[in-house]
Amino acid sequence: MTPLAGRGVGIGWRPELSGFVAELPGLRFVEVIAESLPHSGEPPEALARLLAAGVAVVPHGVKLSLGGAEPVDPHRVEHLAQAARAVNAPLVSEHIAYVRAGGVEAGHLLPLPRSREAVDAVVANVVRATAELDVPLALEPIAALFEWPDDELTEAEFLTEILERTDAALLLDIANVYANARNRGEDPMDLLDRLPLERMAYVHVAGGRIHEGRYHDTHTDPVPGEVLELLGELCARQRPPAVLLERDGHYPPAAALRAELDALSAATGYPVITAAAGR
Amino acid sequence: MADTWGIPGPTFLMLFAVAAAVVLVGTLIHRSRLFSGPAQVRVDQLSPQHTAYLNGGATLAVYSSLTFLRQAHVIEADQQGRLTRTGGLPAGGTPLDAAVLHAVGNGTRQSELRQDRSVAEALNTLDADLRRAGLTLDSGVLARARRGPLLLLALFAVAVARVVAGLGNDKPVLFLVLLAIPVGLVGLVMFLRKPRRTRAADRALLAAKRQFNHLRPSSHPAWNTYGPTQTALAVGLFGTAVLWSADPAFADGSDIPNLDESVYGPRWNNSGSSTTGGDGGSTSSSCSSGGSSCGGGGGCGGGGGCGG
Repeated sequence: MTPLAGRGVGIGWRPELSGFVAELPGLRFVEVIAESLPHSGEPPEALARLLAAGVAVVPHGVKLSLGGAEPVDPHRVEHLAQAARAVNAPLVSEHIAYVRAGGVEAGHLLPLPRSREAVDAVVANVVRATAELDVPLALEPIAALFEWPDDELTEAEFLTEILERTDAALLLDIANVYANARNRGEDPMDLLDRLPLERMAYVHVAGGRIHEGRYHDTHTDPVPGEVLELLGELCARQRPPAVLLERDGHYPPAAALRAELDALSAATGYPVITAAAGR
Repeated sequence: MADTWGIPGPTFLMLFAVAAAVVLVGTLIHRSRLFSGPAQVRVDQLSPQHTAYLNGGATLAVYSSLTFLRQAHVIEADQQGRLTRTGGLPAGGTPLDAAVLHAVGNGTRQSELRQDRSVAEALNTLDADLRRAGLTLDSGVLARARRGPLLLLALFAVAVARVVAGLGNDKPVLFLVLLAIPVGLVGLVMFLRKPRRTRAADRALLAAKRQFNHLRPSSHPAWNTYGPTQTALAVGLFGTAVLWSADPAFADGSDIPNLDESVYGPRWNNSGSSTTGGDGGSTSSSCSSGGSSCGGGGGCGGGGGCGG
């Protein structure tokens, strides 16, 4: 189950960057925030041009709230399914998190307690969502800035059980793995060794910064060398089918952004996408 | 009672109508040719400042240059609206950039930049380039374009004289009046209309707006990523609202007005069709959907529109 096999290095498509993304000659895939796609009709012209050039577009949901105790909102699932159809997506992705509870919007992705009850809730919601989707779903664990006191399962057990019971793919955020391990004083390799890496659909890479002793996965700073090294370690264990740079603000000059994409190529061994020869 | 001027009314009416029709058709063809410009203008042949000049004249070209210099971090503005130079001419700088940077270094204020001798020279060069490329219309062409409208106005004058004489002769003049008024109006409108750009230029600008749609302020473009040259181009295409989005403190400090594209150039809307009319720029003001934020400085329908 590797819909993105051979797609190599991609970048999170944002309207702010669309002119930059359009000029990456070797680009084979992008991710787009699913909720930013129109509810019906054609995708934005810039995305349509990428699609016409054979670039795969993966809708990435941020508001489905798969981890909520209540069932997922069927309208939001329907929109995700429509978004996938509109861009002829090979797969879609969402987070293992909740963003609302009891009708209150948190506005953030919130971590779940790693309990059996939470696993059941996520599994039930993923089953509800995948029933409406025409394409595979990849699930992304989120950064946890805090731990719930009643965690029954380790992170690896929690993820593995959800993925196995739903047959969903894994969207691994390598910067999150780094952030969690660093902030908890753990070795990130331990988690990599215990995750079902063969289920990886693709990998997220983003930048961050250290603030008051803790590493924050900001998506608005450069990708640190340690994260790139961890990406290399991941590839040594199991190379993901594709890897995606997420940048969500404080955009650097084009040369710096290209250098980050090239660094992802170097770490993964995938072709360089910033030059025509990369294709 | 004798015919006025010895010509029967119906005959005169017929002659007048034929003459007006011939002159009108000839004028439209003549003007269409004068205003057409070259068959093919490539968007990428236009530099950001040529684009800015074409779209919004010398003022916008200077704003575009200031944007380039600012984004390259070689000029600053203080609270009192004084500009200061903090670096040398960046790579990719044009003669206008060099002149503006030099003038800023000499303490010239933003509002006086256009009067600076080297800046004015650089602007004249841009102007001449655009004229040579058949993108803007010079006074000679505009004078020739007025010949047809003058003939129409002359016909109108003849009709007025005939009406006066006819009234004195106690003849009916209603049909002549009804025919002469539109002839006079059309002649007057065409006589007064002075398009700045050829139709080819309007097409090129619209094509550029489509090609660089991602530089519209409504997309919140990552100006840092696009760099100084593209940001300067964005000002040329979409107005100073770009600079207000990229660096509001500088735009405010240097007294640059916040004007979006509705103030400049030919209009562009999401359906991709030009709203430019056949006579070198229409006055229709369909607010573009999507992107452009109407109602800001200038707003739709006000401001000036195309062809002016």
